[in-house]
Amino acid sequence: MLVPCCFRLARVLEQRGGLRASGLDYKPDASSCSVFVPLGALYGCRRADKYGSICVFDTEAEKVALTPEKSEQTAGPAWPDALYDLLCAEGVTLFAYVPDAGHKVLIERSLADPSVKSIPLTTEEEGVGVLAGANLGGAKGVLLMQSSGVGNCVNFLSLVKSGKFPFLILISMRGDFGEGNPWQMPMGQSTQRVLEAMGVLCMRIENADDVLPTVSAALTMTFKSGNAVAVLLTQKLLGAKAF
Amino acid sequence: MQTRFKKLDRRDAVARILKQRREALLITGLGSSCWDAAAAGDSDTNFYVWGGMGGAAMIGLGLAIAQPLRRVLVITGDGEMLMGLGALATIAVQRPKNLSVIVLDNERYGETGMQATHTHYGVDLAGMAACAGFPLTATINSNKALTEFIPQLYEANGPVFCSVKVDDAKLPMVLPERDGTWLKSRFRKAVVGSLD
Repeated sequence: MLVPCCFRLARVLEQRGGLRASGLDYKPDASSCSVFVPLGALYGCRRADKYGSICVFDTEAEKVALTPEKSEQTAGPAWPDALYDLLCAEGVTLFAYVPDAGHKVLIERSLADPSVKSIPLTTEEEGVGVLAGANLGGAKGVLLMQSSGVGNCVNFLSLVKSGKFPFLILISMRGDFGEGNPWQMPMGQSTQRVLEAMGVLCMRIENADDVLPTVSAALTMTFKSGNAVAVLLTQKLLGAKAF
Repeated sequence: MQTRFKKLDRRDAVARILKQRREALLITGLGSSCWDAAAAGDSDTNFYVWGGMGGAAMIGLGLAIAQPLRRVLVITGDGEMLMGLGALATIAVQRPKNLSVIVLDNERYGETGMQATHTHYGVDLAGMAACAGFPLTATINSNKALTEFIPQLYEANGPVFCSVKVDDAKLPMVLPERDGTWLKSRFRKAVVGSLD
């Protein structure tokens, strides 16, 4: 039985030597993020979840594949928790968000933290207003969203630019490296250009080791030198989705 | 839609509301509501919004959260509020006690040729705010009702939503300062005490 899994996990499995031996149809240099691996190749795959998206479509297969090491597989990478701690240490007290999988830890921790305000939005543009208002009142906030939401914010970025408001967005990317959903591509490929057209500085992160230094720099550029900054958490960092 | 009452004068309504503001902070919408606030008298704690239509209530929410001990008023128009209706849901979820959103509802897009807005066809903004979860909402149809409701804008546990039905007279523009950075810095200096 073959199940789809993400490109990065497939690479790990390949490096462990299990994939070619099992004779699956897998081309390491294929542009698609999704490859099919034998269900057996996922057994005992302790680090599977580190790569964010195993992308097992078949519920039953997913259950079988994930059962052996479930507790370790759900642990996830370390950077999201460290990122939350960094934001709090820098005085961020407002977390405005439209949910995305890439922001799961930040959202959950802000909801559980009585010392910050967690603000679910109906659309990303609301976050631009709420952060500007927070700045008027002397509070620091961050906006969490998926790249699709950038399109919803464009006209509101006039407020940021006209008022020279410090403004920090963390954007989890869709429609870039290894994207499997064609409808995600137009906005994903335009995200950085749209932001830059509105005067927002963009910093892309591809490796987990770069998350904290990059966000730390972004915090300084936002709250010390008064810029609008977007940190783009790419699909190389987060893992691509096949759907 | 025919109305059975004489609608309020918007400048007079805003002047009466702001006359009792004391320490309250003000965010305006763009267009007529901005000119109305300017006509009532400038203040360091007025932030005039000249663009970003649909965002006034959310700016008010961010400010209300950052300054929980100060009353925050948002005075905007029906067209501006309609463009950001999701804000009613977002504000209701946060339930800031110190936020009052006031919509001057002339049922028109005043700056673009007086085209009818959705409220002209019966959309009930106060009803939408109530359904979203605002604990206190009102639609004001008379000067007497406004007089009675004004204290609630400053004292009631919010968020408060109030739609004031105003006439569609085209009034002379009273333009406040239009430099956003200057307005922001002035506001922050008055409220936060620093520019950092």
